[in-house]
Amino acid sequence: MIPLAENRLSHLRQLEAQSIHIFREVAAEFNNPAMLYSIGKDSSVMLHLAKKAFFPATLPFPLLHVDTTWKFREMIEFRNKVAKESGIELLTHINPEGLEMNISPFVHGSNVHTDIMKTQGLKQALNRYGFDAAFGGARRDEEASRAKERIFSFRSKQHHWDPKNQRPELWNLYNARIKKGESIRVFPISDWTELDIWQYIYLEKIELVPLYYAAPRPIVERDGIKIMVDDDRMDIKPGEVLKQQWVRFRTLGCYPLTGAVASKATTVTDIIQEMLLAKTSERQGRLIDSDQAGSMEAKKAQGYF
Amino acid sequence: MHHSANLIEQDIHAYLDQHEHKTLLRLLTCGSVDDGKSTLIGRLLHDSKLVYEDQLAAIKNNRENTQDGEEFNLALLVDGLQAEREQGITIDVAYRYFSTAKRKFIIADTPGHEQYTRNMVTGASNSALAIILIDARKGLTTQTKRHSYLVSLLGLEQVVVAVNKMDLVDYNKATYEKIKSEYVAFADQLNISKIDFIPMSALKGDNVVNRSENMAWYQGPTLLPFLEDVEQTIDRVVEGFQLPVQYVNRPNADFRGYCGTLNRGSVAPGDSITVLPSGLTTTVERVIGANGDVDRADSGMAITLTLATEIDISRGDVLVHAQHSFEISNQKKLHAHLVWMDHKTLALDKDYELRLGTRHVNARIDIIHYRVDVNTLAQVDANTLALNEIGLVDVQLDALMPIEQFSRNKGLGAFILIDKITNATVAAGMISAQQADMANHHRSAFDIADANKSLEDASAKEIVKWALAFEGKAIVTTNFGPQEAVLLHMVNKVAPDTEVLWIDSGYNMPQTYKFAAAVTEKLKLNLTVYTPLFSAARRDAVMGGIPMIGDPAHAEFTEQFKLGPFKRAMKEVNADIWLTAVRREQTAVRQEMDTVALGPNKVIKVSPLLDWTLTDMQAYLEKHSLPDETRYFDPTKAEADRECGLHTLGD
Repeated sequence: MIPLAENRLSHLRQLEAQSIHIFREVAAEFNNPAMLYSIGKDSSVMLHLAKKAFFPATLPFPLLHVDTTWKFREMIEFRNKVAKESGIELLTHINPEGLEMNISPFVHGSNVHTDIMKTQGLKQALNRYGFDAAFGGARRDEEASRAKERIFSFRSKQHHWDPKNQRPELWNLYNARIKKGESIRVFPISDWTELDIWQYIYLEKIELVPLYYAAPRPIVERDGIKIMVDDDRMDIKPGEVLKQQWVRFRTLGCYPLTGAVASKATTVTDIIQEMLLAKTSERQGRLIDSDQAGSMEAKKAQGYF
Repeated sequence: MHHSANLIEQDIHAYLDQHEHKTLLRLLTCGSVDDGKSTLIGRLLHDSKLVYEDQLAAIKNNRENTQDGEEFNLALLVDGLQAEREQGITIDVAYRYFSTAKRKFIIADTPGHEQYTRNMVTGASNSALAIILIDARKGLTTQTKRHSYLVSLLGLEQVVVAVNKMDLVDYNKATYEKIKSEYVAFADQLNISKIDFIPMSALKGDNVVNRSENMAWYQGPTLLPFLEDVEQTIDRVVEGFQLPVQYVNRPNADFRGYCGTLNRGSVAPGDSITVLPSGLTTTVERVIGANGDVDRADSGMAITLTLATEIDISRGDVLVHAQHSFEISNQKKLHAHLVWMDHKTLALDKDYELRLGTRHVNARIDIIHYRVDVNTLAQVDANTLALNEIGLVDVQLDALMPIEQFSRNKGLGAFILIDKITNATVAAGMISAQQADMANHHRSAFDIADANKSLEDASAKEIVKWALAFEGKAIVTTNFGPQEAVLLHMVNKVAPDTEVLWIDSGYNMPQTYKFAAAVTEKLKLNLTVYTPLFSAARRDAVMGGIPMIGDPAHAEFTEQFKLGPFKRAMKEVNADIWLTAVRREQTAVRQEMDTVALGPNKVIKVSPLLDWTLTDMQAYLEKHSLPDETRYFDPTKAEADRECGLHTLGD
C-alpha cells in the first residue's frame, strides 16, 4: 500500500483550491468577465478567494453591483469601503426606468420590485458593459433548483437559463465557448455549504457587513417577519410597534424584503453555534422564496441570479 | 438538530477544530427510478439529522408519491426541479451536500433512466466512489450492469453495492448472498479495484445510518460509517508532480507566475522541472499556495510557481519533474473511449475542439474501432456514435498534446470534445491503455512508419522530447564536429544525464579535442569515449598512416578506426534509442533518410535535425550562446559530403 500523505487537504482547502481554479479558468478563457458583487457574506468569501487566485496581482476583472436603492445603508457603506481598496474596480448599476417609476417593494410588492430592480437591472448592466462571463456567489445547497446548476452556466443572448438543455460538465474541464452576445454565469462557490462559508470566514478572518452580527436594531414585525426600519421610506402601519430588538441577519438583500432573526450572536463562532443548532434553513428569511414552490426556478429561467 | 449538538453547545471551538480537519468524499449514486435512490439519499440526510424543519414541513405538506408505510416521501427532499418533479423522475445531475463529524460528502445524484448515460458519466467524472443500488426483489438487472460498466469506464476506485428493499424480501440472507455472488461474477470482467456489499432498506432505515435489527446476520458496517472511513487515492503519496499551466500571472516586469492546480504529486522550490511539450527545463524558484509561499505544495492545491529562468511557457503547457517527464508522451493521435453526449451524432473527419488539461486543440475522429453495447458489453461495428453511445476511437490532433493513460492519471488522460459550430459539449473521452503502450513505446511493439507519420510536423525539440520519452536507454552520438553543440544542448535540456557517445578515431584535429573538452565542460556531458583497439600512432608507424580514398585499404582503415569501435560501443552500451545530428542537406544519402529508422542491434535511430539547414544550426548556437569549432577533419570520410558508413549500417 502507498502511504497516506501527511498533509492531505482538508475539505475546506479542497473547496478553496477548486474555487481558485475556476477563477483562473475564467480569467484565461474570457475577454470581459466581471464579478457580481452583492455585498453579502458569499460575495465576501468569493472576493477573498479571487484575490488569492491572482495574488500578487490585483483582480483582472471589475466588481459589478446592481443596486436596487433599497439595500441596507450599512451594506452600501461596506461596499464603498471595499471599492476604495487598491486594485478594486467597482461598477454600480441602478435600473433607470425603475428609478423613474419610483419602484418600491412596499408599493409594488416583492415580485415586481425584484423583477424590475434586480433581474432587469442586472440584464441592463450586463448588456451595457458587454460582459461575456459573470461570477455569482450562488451555492448549490441553497435551494433545490440550484442543486442542478452547472459551474459554467450558459445564458442565451436574452440571459435565459434552460435547465433542460445544460452542457454536461465533466472533470474540471469547462466549456467556455460562446457566440457573440451569449454569456456564461460562473459559480465558483457552487460546492460550498452555508457551514463551509462560515467556517472559512472564521478561519480566514474575512470582514463582513456588521448586519450579520447581532445588535439592538429598530424592528417592526410584519406578517410574522422581523423587518428592520432602515430609513423613513418605511411607513409604520396602525397596530405595528417599532421596537429595539436584538437581531441579526442570515442573508442580506433589500431591507424591506429581508427578515431578521432574534439573536445575541455577536461573533463568528456565536453565529456558527447558533446556526448549527437552528431548526430552519437559511433562505427562510428571504421573502421571495416563499411566494410559491418552485419560485426560484421560475425567476432563474428569467435571468435572476 | 445537528448531529454534534452537544459538542456544538458545550465547546464550539472544539467543534470548529474538528470540522476544519474534515476530509471530503465525492460520491455517485446510481440506480433506476424504482431502486429507491432518492429515498436512500433522503434517508442519509434525514437520519444524519441534516434536514431543517422548514424543509421537512415542505415535504410533509406534499403527500404525492408517498409509498406504503411512509410518513412522508423522503425522495422529495432530493428531487429538485419543478418540471422534473411533475414527471416524477430526476432527469439531470444534482449535487447534494451533507457532513458528519469526520467528513464532508458531495453526492452526485444521477438518474437511472435508460436514456441518461450522459448524466451518469458526468456525475461519475468527479466522484471517487459509487453506490450502486440493487432492488433485492429483482437482483442484477441490465441497468445494474450498465451502471457498473460506466463506473469502471470512468475509473472510479471503488463501488458499494447497496442491496436495497431488503424489507420486501423478509430480510432474507440467502437472497442477499445470491445477489452478492452474481455481482462478483459479473464484475470480474470489469476494472473496479474494490467492491463492498451492504444489505439495507432505505425506506425503513435499515443499515443506512443505524444498524438493522432485522438483519442480525449482517456483520459489516452500515452505509454511513463505511463512507466516513473509506480511503481515497487522492490522499496517497505519488512521485512526480504535474501542473497543467492554467494562467500566466504577470502583474509587472518583476513577477511572472505560472498558475494551475497540481494534478498529482508534490513540488518544492529548487525542483528541476521540464516543460511539456517543448521539453525546456528549468528550476522552481517559489511555490505560492492559497496563503502565500510554501515549502512544498501537494496534489490538489491551486498554486503559482515562479521559475529560476525565463523560458517560453504558456497556458496549456504542462510542468513536470524533470526526472519523471518520460512518463508523459507528446502525441498527435489518441486512442480513446468516447461517451457521446449530443443529439447530433458523431461525424468522422469533422473538426471538433478537444480540451485536455488546460490545453485545447483542433481534433478529428478518424476511426471508430467499435461501439460497446452497454447492456451486454459486446463490441459491435459502428460508423458513428449517437447520444449515450460509447465507442473506442482514434482521434487525430492538429498539435502535439502531452498525455497519459486515463487509468493512470485522469488529469492528462481525460478530455472533452466540443462542437465548434453549436458549442455544445458533445463527448467525454478517456485515453485508453493501448495508447499508453504506444506512448511508452517499447521497441518490440513499435511501428516505424507510424512514428514518422506522427512526427511529420513536429519540431526538433518535440522530436527530442518524443525520443527521450521511450522506456529504455537513450544515447546521443557526436563527433564534436561543426555545430555539434546543437543536438547535445537540446538533449541536455530534456534529460541532462543522457549518455553521450563519442567514437574518437585518434585522428582528430587538435582543435576538435579542445572543442570536445570545452563542450563537455560547458554542458556537463555524461560522456563515454570509445577508441579503436589499434592506436593511431601504432597505425602510423607500422601501416603507413591514412590510406587514400579509392585505396582498398581505406575501407579496412574505416572499419578499424571508426565502424569497428562504433559497433563495439553500440553493442556494449546496448541503447534502445539513438539520437544523431545528421541533416538532409549534408549528403545525398541523408537526403533520403527518415526521422525515425532502425539502426544496428535494432536500436531506434532518431534524427531530430534532419530538416535543419546550416543557417538554422548557426542561429541556434547563437541564440543559446553555445561554443562551436568549424575546423574539422574526419579521415574516414575525407570529404565533407562522403559517408563513412556509420549511418548506412543496417539493423
